[in-house]
Amino acid sequence: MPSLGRRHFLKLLGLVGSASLTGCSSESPRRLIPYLNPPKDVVPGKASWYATTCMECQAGCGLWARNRDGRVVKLEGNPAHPVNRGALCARGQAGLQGLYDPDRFRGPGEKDGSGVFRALSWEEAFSKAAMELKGLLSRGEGERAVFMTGLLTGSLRDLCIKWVEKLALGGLVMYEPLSYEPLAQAAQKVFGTWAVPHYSMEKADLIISFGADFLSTWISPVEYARRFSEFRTPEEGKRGFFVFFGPRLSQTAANADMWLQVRPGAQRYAALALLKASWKDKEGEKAPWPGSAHLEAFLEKWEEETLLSKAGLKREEFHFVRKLFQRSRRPIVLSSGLETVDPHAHETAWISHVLCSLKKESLELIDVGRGWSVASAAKRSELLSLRDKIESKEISLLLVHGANPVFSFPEFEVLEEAVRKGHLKLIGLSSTEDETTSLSSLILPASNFLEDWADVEPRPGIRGIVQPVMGTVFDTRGLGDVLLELTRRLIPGDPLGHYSFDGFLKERWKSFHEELGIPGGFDSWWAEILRRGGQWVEPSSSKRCEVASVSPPMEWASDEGGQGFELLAYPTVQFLDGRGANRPWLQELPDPMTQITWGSWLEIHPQDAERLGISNEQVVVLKGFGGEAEIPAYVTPLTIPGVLSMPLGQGHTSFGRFAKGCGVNGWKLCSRGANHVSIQPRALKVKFANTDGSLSQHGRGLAQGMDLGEYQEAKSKGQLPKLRLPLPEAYDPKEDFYPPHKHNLYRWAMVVDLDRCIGCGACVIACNAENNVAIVGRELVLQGREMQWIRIERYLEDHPLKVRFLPMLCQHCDAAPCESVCPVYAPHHSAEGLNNQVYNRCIGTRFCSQNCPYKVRRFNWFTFTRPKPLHLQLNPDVTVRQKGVMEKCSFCVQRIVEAKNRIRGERRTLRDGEVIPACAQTCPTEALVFGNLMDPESRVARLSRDPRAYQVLGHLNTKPAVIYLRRLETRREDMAP
Amino acid sequence: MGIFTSLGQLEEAIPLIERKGAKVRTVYSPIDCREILQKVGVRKTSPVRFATLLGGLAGLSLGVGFAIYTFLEWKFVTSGKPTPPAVPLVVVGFEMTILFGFLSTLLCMLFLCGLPRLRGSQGYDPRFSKDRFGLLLECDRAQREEIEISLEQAGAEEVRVLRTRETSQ
Amino acid sequence: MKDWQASTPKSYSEVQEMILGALSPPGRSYWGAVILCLFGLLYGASCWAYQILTGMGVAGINHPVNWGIYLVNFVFWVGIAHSGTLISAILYLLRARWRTSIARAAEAMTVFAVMIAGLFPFIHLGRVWIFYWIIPYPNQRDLWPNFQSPLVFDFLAISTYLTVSSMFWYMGMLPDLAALRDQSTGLKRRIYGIFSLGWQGTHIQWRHYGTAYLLFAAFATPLVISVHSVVSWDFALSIVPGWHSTIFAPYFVAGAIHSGLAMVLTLLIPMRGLLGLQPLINVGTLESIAKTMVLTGLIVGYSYGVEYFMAWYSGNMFEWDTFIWRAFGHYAPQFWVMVVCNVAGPLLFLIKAIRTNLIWLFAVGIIVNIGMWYERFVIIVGSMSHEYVPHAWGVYSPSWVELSIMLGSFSMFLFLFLLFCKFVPPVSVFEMKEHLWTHGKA
Repeated sequence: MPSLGRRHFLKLLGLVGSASLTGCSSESPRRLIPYLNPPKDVVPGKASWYATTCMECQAGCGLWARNRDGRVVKLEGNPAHPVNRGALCARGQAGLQGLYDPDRFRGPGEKDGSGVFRALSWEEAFSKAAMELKGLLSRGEGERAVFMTGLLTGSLRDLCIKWVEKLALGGLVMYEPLSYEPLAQAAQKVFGTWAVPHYSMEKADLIISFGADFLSTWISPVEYARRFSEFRTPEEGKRGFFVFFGPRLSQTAANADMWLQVRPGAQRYAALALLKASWKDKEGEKAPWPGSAHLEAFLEKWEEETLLSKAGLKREEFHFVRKLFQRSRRPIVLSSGLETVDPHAHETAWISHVLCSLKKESLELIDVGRGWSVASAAKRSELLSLRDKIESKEISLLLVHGANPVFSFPEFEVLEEAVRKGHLKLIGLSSTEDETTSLSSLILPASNFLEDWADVEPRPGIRGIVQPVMGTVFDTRGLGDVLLELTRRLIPGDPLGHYSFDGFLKERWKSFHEELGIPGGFDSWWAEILRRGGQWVEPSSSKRCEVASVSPPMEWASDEGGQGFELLAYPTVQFLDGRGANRPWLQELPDPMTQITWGSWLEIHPQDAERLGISNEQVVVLKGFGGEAEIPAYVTPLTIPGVLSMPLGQGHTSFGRFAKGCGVNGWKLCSRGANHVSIQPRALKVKFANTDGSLSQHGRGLAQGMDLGEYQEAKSKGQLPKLRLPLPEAYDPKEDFYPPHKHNLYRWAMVVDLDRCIGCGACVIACNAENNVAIVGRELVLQGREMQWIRIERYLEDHPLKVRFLPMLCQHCDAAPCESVCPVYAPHHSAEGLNNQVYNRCIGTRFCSQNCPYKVRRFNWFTFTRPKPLHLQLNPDVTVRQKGVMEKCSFCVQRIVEAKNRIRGERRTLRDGEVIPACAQTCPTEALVFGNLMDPESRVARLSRDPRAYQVLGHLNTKPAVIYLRRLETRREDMAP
Repeated sequence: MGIFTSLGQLEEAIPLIERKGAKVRTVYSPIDCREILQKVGVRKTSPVRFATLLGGLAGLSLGVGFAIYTFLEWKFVTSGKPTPPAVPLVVVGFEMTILFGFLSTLLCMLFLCGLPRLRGSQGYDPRFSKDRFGLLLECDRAQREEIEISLEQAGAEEVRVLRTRETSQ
Repeated sequence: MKDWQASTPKSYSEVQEMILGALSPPGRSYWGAVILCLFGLLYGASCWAYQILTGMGVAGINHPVNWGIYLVNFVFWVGIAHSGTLISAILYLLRARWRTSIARAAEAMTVFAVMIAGLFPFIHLGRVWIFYWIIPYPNQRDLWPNFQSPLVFDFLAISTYLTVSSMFWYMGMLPDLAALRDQSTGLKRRIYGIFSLGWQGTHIQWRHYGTAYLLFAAFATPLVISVHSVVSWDFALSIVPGWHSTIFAPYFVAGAIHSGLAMVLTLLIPMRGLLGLQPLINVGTLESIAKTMVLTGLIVGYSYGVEYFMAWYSGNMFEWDTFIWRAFGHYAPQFWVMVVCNVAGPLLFLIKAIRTNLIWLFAVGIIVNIGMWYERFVIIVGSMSHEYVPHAWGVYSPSWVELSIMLGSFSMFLFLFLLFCKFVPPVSVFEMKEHLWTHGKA
C-alpha cells in the first residue's frame, strides 16, 4: 500500500480503535510476536476482530476476521450482516487458505516465451505495463486492449469502468462462470427487468426447485440455507413442503420432502406440464396479463400426456405436486439457471417465473428490483464476441484480474493459441496463478481481498465494506492502487482524482452519507461503518413485482437428437466453479453425497453400469462435444438412468500444488445446449479417496427420523424423550453400575438438529481452521487416516431412496469408554463434563480410539506440516499436535477458557450463548446448539426435552453429551389434499 | 569322610556310623533325596515357607495400598468410575502378591543355603555333582580307625580323612 | 511310560554325559544359523528405528483399525510363553513324570517368548520414547499411571511373569550348572562357577531348595493363568463387539496353552535330533504332548462355538453382525484358516499312528502355530474393522515394516533358543537322576 494510503488508513483505524495493522509490514506475520515493542493498543496474545466482507463468491457474506499478533487466523460470519447473519460456508471459511496460498505470486514479475518466471520490482513492472498500454494508446488503438475481471461491484467496479473510459480501452468484461444469465433473461421477459431475482423463501409455504441447488451453491447458499430452515421450522404446525425436480439426488435434493426424477433436458417439460395444469386456476388481476393469449395458445399445443412422457414423470406423482401447488398460497418455483445442469435453462427459468406469477402472494416473495449483482456479469454473447475479436486479431492486449475463462469457458481455449501465435499479450493482475494468468507475459499481482480495501454490493441496498485485516503476506498491491498508478504513468497529473484507492472508496461513501442524509459527521459514521462491516437498509415493505408479459419465448429449442447419455456437470460445495480447488481444506472436505475427497468422478446409475459392464472405480473414456476425458465411474443411485453426473471445479492444470492432478475438468466436457456424451469402459481402476465405510446404516438407527404428525402429537401431549443425560439426576440404579458424579457449575453439551442439518460441511472446515486440524492428502485418506474432528456421515436408505446426514463429533460422554483404558490419564473427565485429551501426556497406545464406539478420535500417524505460508493461519490458542498423539474434538475448550477469562471479576457464570464452538458458530441453519446442560433454561437443556431428542448408541449407556433431534418426515398422505 | 557310589549304601551307612558315635556333618548328593534327610534326622520342610507367606502378604497390601494412594492423589474421573474404584485393585493386588511372595522365597532360600558362596567347602568333591555321594562325619581320634573300617564295610568306595580342629592325625 | 524307562540310560553318569555331551562345541552350520538369526533380529530392529523416526504411519494401521499385527504378535508370543511354565510348574505339581525331560527347554522357550512379547507393546506405542510413563515411578507432580487401565494390568502381569519365569528357570538350573562347573575347566569353569553360585548339593541345600522349588511352582501356576487372563482383558474390558465377553479369559488361556504346546513340538523335535537326546525326549513324551493338545484344541473349538452362541443369544445386533462378518466378511479366509488349523488340526492326534510319527507331530505343530496366529488376527483386526458406526468401517492389511518387525521377532526367538541349546543343559540333569533313583527303588 502506498505510504499516503497507509497514513490515511491509520487515521481511520485510529478511529475504530484498532491499529494493530501498523505493525503489519509485509514481513511481520512471519514472526510469532511481530512486535519488539508493540503499539499500545495491541496486546500480544489478545485477538482483535475486524469486520469485512467475503469475496470468495458473489453472495457477499459479511465477515469477522480474527487477527492474532498481526495475522488473520480465522474467518467468521458477521452476525449483523443481512446476507449471512453470522454463518459462513465452507468456501468462505477456506478464504484464509486463499490468503496464505503457498502458490500465490510472491511479487510482480514477467514470463519469457518458455514460461520461466522472472521477478521484477514494482517500479519495473509498472513501467513495462505502462509501456504496453502506451504503445497502443499512442497509436490511438486503445480499444485493442480489453480489461477482463471477475464479477466486481461497488467502488472497484466504478473505478475499473472509469479507468477503462479514461484510457479509452476496448472495454471492461466482468467474467463470472456461474452468471445465472438464463434467470436474468427470463426475468427480463416476465417481469421486465434484467435481474437475478431474490427470493424470501422463509415466507413461502411450498418450494418447487427445478435443479436449483440453493442449499449448496446456488447464488447465495448461506442465506438461502438459513431462509430454507426457517421455511421448514415445525413451529406452530406450519412446515413448508419442498419438491425437487432434477436428474440427480444432489445435496439440496437430499433435503427435499420429495424428489421427482427428471432428465436434465426434460426439466423444462416437467415445468411446462405444471404450468399447463395450473394455468387455469391462476389468481391475480381480472385483466389478463400481456401475452396471456399467446401463452394459452402455446399451452394448447401441448398434451399433458406428451409432456409427462417427455419428462418421464409418473402420473400420480405429478398430480400430487400439482395439487400441492394448487392448494398452496405462497409457492416459490426456482430453476437452476445453469446450462451445465439444464441445457434448456432459459425455458425452464421462464416457466418457473411464470409459475411464481400465478399466485398473488408469491409475487411479494420475489424481489426483482433488488436482484443479485451477478446479473451484471458479462453475457455469454459478449464473451463470444470477445472471443471472435481475439481470433480475428482485433484485440492484442488483455488485462486479466480474478477471471479464469480458459478453465471454465471452453470457447476461450483460443486464448492459448492467440498467445502462442503472438498476436495477443496478457497482463495478469490476479493474485494467484491460474490457467488464464499463466498465459500472461507480465504479472502485477493484486492483493487478496483480506489485504485490501473494497466494498461489495451483492444486492442493491446492501453495501459491505472490505478493509485490510492484516498486512500483505507477499509483495502485492491492491487492484485499485495498481490501476491508479498505471493511469498516473499514462496520463500526466492525477486524472482519476485520487492517489490511492482507499481515498476513492471513501469519497464514494461520502456520497452515500449525503444521499442517506445521516445526521452527524461523516468520520464518526465511517468509523461506525468499519465497525459494523458495512451499511444496509432493511427492504422497505416489499412491493410486489409486476408481471410484464407472459408471452412464451419465440424460439422453443427442439430436443437435440443426441445419442447416448446426458451429461450433467454441477458446481460443488467445495470448489463452486473451481476457484476453491487449491485450498487443501476444501480438497479434503468429503463431498456431501459421495464422501469422496481429492478428485472427481462420474456418477452412473447401477442399471447403466450393469448394462455396460462398468464396475465401481473403473475408469471410463467420456466422449462429448467438448472433447474426451478419462474419469473413474462411481456407480450410484444418486443419478438417474441415462444420465451421467460429474462435479465441476477439478482438473486444474496450473492452479497450484493442491489442485494439481486432481480429477477432470467438467467445463471442458459440457458444451452448452448439447450435453450428450458416450462412454466406454477401460480395463483400469482408480481408487476413490472416500471417507465412508458404508453406504447405509444397516438398520442400526444412528440417524433417526420421526413422522411430523406423531411429533406434533407428542409435543402437544408434552411427552419427554427417554434419554440418558450426562447429569447426576439421570442416575438410574437399574442401569448404572457406578454411582453418579457431580460437575462444577457447567456441564457442556451440544444439541444436533438433524432436521436442520443440510450436510453442507461448513462446520468441518470451521473446525479445521479453529483447531489446527491437519490435512493429510489423498494417499493417507485412501488409508483411512483423515484427521477431521467432526464429520458429516451420509447414509442412504432405499425404497424410497432417502438420504440422512449425521454430524458426528466427540460425544463427551459422562461415562466415556475412552478414558479408563488409557494407562496415563491422557483422556479424562473434566469438572465441567468435558472429555479432556491431554496431548502432552499421550503416549499413543491408541486404546482410547479403539474403545470409542463413535470412532471420533484421530491419531497423528506422522508429524503433519503445512507448506509456508499456510502455517501462518495456525491458531495460537491451540496446540499443534506431534506424531504419535491422539486428538479429537474438544468442544473448542480454548473458547470456553477465553470466555471465562473475559468475565473474570464479574462474579457471575457464563450466560447461554456466550461460548460457541467454531462448528456451531458457522452453521448456516443453526443445526448445532452448544451450552450448559446444568442450566435448565439454556437452549440445550430446553431442546433436550423435545420429543425428537435421542442419543446415538444411547443403549451403551455412555451418557453422551451430544443430543440429536430426529429428522422430521412428512408423510405424503398427510400432505395429500 | 566316605564317598559312596550308590545312595542305598549311603542310607544304610548313616545309622551304622551313628551307632558308632560319630556325628554326620554333611551329606553331599547329586540329587534331592528326601530319605537322607530322614536318616540324618532333619525335618523335610524348610522355614522358607514363612518368608513366602510374609512376602505374599506384603505384596498384597503394598499393591492395593499404593494403587489407592495414586487414585486419591489426583482423583481423575475416568469413564464415570469412582476414585478409588474397587475392581481394578484385585488385579494389582494379585500380581504384587505373587511377585513379592516369589522374590522373598527366592532370597530366603538362597540365604538359608548359604548361597552364593565363593570358595568350595572343605571336603567337597567334584564327583558329588555327578554320580557320587559323600558322607562327612565328625568323631574323636580314638574312634577313627573303627569308623573307617565300618565305612568300608558299609561299601564306601573311598574313605578320606580331613584334618580339622578336633580331628588330627 | 513303559518305553520311557526302556530307552533311558541306566546310570547317573550316563545321564549326565548324554545331556552335557549335547553341549559339545558346536559345528559351522550351527554358527551359520546363529548369525542368520542375528541378522534377522538386527533387520527387525532397524525397521523399528525407522518407524520411530518417521511415525506410526509406516505401519498399515488406520482408523478404525488402530491395532495391527503388533498386538497380534504380542498376544501370540505371550501365548507361546505359557506352555513352558505350564509344563514345568503345573505338571510338576501334578507329578506328571513325562514333563521332566522337556521342562527345561519349555521354560527356556517361555522366557524368550515373554521377552519378545514384552517388546511388542512398545513397538506399537505412538511415542515410545516416553514409554516409562506407564511405570509407577515417583515424580514431582505425583502423576501416576491409571491402575484402571488394562494396559497397566498388562504391564504388571507381564513384568511379573518375566521375573518369575526367568528366575524359576534359573533356579531349576542351579544344580546342573554346578555339575557343568565341576566337569569343565578353565574359563568355562569360572563362568559356570559364578552362575552356579557355588552350589554343592549338601543335604541342607537340598532341603531348602526342594521346598522353595515346590513353592515356586505353586506361585507360577496361578500366575500363568492370571497373565493370559489379563492379556485377554485388554480386549474383554473394552466395549468393542466381539471383544466384550466374559469367556475371554479361559478362552485365551486355553488358546495360549494350545499354541505353547504346538511350539514345544516344533522346537523339540528338531532339537532332540540335533542334540542326540532321543532317548531322553522320546516319542512317548511327544505323544503325551500331542494328547494334551487334543484336549486344548477341543477347548478352543468349544470357545469358538460359545462365542457364536452368546452373540446370537444376546440378541445384540452389533455383536451378532460382527460375528457374521467374521465368518463371511472381508476376513473370512483368515477366519476359516483359524478354525481348521486350531480345531481340525489337533484332532488328527486322535490317531495313534499320527501322534507317534515325528513328521506328523512336527507338521501339526506348525499348523497349530499358524492357526493360533490367525486366531489373534481375526479377534483383533476382525472386530475393530467392523464396529458400531458403519460410516467408520474400514479394513487393514499389514505394511512391510510390520512384517519385517514380525520377522525380526521370530529371528530373535530362534537366536536365543539356539544359544540356549548349546550353553545351558537342555534337559534337567538332576531331575533325570532322581527318576533313575525312584525307579531303581520301585
